[in-house]
Amino acid sequence: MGTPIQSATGWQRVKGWAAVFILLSSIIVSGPLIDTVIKARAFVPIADVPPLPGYQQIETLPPPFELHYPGAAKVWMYSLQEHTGVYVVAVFYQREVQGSELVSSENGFLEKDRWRQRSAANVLVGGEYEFRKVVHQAEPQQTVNILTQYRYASLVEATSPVKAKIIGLRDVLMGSNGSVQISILTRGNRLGDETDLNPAWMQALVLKIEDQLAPVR
Amino acid sequence: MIKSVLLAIKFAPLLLVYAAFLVFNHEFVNPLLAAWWSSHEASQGLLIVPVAIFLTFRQLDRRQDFRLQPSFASVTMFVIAIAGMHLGRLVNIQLVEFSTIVVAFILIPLALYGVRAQEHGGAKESYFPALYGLLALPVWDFSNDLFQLGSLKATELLLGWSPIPHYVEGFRIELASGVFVVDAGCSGLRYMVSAVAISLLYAYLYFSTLRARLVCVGSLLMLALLGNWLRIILIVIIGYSTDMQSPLVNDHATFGWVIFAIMLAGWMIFMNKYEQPE
Repeated sequence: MGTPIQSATGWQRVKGWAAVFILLSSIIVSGPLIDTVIKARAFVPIADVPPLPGYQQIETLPPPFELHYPGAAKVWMYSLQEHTGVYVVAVFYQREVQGSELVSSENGFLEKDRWRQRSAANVLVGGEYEFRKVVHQAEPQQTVNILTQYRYASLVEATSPVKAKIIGLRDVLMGSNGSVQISILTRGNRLGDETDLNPAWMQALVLKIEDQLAPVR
Repeated sequence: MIKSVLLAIKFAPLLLVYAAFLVFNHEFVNPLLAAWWSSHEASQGLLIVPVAIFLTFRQLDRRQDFRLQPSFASVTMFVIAIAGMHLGRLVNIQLVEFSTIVVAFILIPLALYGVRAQEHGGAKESYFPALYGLLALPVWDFSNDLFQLGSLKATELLLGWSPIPHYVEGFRIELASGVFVVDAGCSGLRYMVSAVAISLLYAYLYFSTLRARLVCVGSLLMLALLGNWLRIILIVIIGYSTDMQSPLVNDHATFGWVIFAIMLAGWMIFMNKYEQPE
């Protein structure tokens, strides 16, 4: 025999409508709340490409590299004076939206259909800064190296896109002024090693970037 | 008409929350619907969610003492899912965004009415309607590589038994007259997802024993797998015998659904005979 059917007590009714209220509140309030607290936050504009010792400012990248970072807030591009054929690019993002974001499969420096990833490994640049080095190859036997590091206002750096997304979320919640991807680009057949960059130059670049990303107070 | 009005009044809190969810979250829901509409692997979501909602209403409608009976664990999970939805949008991770929309949507009836796992003024209830909605989560793509590899290996094995001269390198199958590529779309995942959705629903509606349900689900999954392998090998044979001139060589997506539909019809006839008396 089943339990006898009972009508709802006053307390059960209150609990029932409290649940409706909580559900409706979270649906209606959460969007505007996020808009007010986070999306409406002011961002300090990123400066134009600054002069740095050891770096030569450039306007465009030489082939086969081509910049594809839609919606970037600012791009700093340099060639290194000491290492011919080594290019350093800092791509800044602020107020990211879908299709215009720091970590995206659409972003890159190479024509997607032509180039295949051959190998990837983490390396130290300037003896201190960890980058993800990916070797790309295209027919016939053309090779380029792209080294990538993501940096955030919280002064945390990442080489993994997944970790970068998570840090990005934390920074957005904490009052970030944006994020940056530092990339070092070289053709595979050049002499020398792009990881052997002058530590003082790398430090100067990173400090300049950290200035730009200082959290919004 | 009067019955519909009475039903709407009976389910007013649930309909109110559903409506609020769709209206206030349309910026989240529209991209999900567009993704389902345009995707071969995920389009089942357009059917799975309405079916899950229908099963939920059907289960709730059977309650004799129908009233709000909230589950605050589900309410909490709903609030977390809504927060996850917005955080997913903030960091632009579509997978998080889409998954949390689905989870939040199917949690609404659980949050308001709970599930009576024990008999209480009506039939014993099941979590199946809510869990069925989880099949709409956009997570199937992760298994695509595995199914693609399985399709390649099965095709390689079957071709090895045939007199057709061929050479396999990576995902390319080279014949004298041309090359086939077992690409991501050849994985058969779309048939697998359909088979999971159909067989689980069938097992829930028509079978009561665990053994019968396992036979029901397992048999259709096996047929979906074999059907896809059959499709690939038939296309290769057709390509070989027509010197790659058959239109099927270039356009064979519909061909796969025809094979799946034939197998599904056969499976339903078999299941109809297999149904045990309740």
